Amino acid sequence: MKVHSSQIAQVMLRTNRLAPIFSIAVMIGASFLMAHPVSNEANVLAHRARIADEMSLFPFQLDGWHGRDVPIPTAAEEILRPNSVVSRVFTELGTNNKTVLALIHCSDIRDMVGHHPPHCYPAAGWSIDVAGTQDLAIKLAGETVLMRSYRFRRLDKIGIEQQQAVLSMFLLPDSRRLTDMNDLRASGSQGRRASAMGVAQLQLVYEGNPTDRELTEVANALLRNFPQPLLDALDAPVTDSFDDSEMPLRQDRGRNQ
Amino acid sequence: MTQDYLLLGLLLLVAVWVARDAWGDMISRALNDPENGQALFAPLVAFYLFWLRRSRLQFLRYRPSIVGPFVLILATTFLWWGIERDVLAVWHGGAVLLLIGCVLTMTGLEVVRQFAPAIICLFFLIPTPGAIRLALASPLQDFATFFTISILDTSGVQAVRDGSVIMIGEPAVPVAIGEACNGMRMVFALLLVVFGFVFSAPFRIETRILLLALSPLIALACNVIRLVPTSLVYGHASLDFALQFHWIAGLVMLPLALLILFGIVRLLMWLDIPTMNWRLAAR
Repeated sequence: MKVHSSQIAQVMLRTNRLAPIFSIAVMIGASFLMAHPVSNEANVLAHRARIADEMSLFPFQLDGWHGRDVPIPTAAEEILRPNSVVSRVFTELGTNNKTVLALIHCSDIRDMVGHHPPHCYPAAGWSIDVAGTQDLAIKLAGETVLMRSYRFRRLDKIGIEQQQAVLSMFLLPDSRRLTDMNDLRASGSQGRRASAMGVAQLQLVYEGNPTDRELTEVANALLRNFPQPLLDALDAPVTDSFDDSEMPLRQDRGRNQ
Repeated sequence: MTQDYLLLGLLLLVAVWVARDAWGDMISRALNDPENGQALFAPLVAFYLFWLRRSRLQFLRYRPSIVGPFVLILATTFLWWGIERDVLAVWHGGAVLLLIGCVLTMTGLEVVRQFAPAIICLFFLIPTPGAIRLALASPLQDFATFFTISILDTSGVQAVRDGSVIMIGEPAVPVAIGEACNGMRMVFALLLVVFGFVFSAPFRIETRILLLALSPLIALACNVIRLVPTSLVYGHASLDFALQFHWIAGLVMLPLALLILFGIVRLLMWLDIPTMNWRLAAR
């Protein structure tokens, strides 16, 4: 029995002596495993660059609306780590109608998780009216999409109640449209491939307490002129293929105007 | 001896290279995301805890252990699974574990026995997972607003709460207890401070557990102590000054947390509750 124990001890000793070699072998294996790319990085980077380019061209004039740059509504830019941001207050010419249009694109879905009106506006001091949350059908460049409307209120400096209505939606590659954060979270948790495709959040922010009909009318008036090339860039699928000929980023997807 | 150090250095370099994407992501988040600022301090605290125990280096020698490669396999699994399933905390954890596996390969488990606090401290490098951050942020915001308005009310300062906004001053200025001041940014930094504190002196294990368990309350107390004067400054001074005050007050929270910890220890000692576990520096 003693001999048996010492044999085991000797085997253990020899095995332990080989530990550095085993470790190097494990790490060489790990480097091969980790070097295997989870997606075609060139395609993903091209996709992000194309979106950033198109967003930088976002027009200051949308039909009868004129825009100027403003800080993004909830000042969450440093947390979101966006790829690109458009934040503009649009004023309807000839009226006093004003709407803030914010479009934020994150390269990683996970950076967007948690950043949506029911979280960010209360964090910035607004109280949400839960009963006012519902989905509205809006025309986005000729396509009918659902945007979720939220209602918020807070007191101003002299104690008068301020109200605000926010329409929000998420735009993902492959023309996916989401209004719910749980759905977005589920998309991101499908893996690095899915998460690295990125996501954009489109918000329209109105001061006051417009009716659903008024909200829909203003959103339609503004978003029916949403730049089609930007929408195409946001909607473009990002392939995992390494064959450039299969890269669909520059293809005309034939979207109807 | 020199060869041993060279081999260890080589292993560590390879480990960093294998997990370079994870390290890059961690560094980027530490530098750019104010809610992960604790990662910048984690190496300093880990080094401090190591330095306090430097006399124990005499117990370490080249003693290769098969435990190291097994930890490396586990770390590689974490790295692969974390990136594939996009669970970033696991991915980042794999990168840290890879370093630990290299050290275990060369020294065996003795290094864990002698330097466990410094090793555990390295896990503060991992950015706070979004799910944890979101779960904590909202209650912290509510608690901070509630306690701040209560203290202002008790002190006779005219202030009104509206949701997570405190209206203060004449005319009233809205002070939003938002993402910048709900305390979330400091929770993990303060947890790191508490961790560094409890392992920097020979406290009894019960004392350590008590202090670590109290760390969320200490974080909340520090934040409220910061918010009361910050609200007053927002209400009665210029915005520029208020913003600077808010930033400086955030920094003051760390030494304040240490003071509170010293206070708790003194209180325990005054109550004649044994807090220290006297022992030799090297055991």
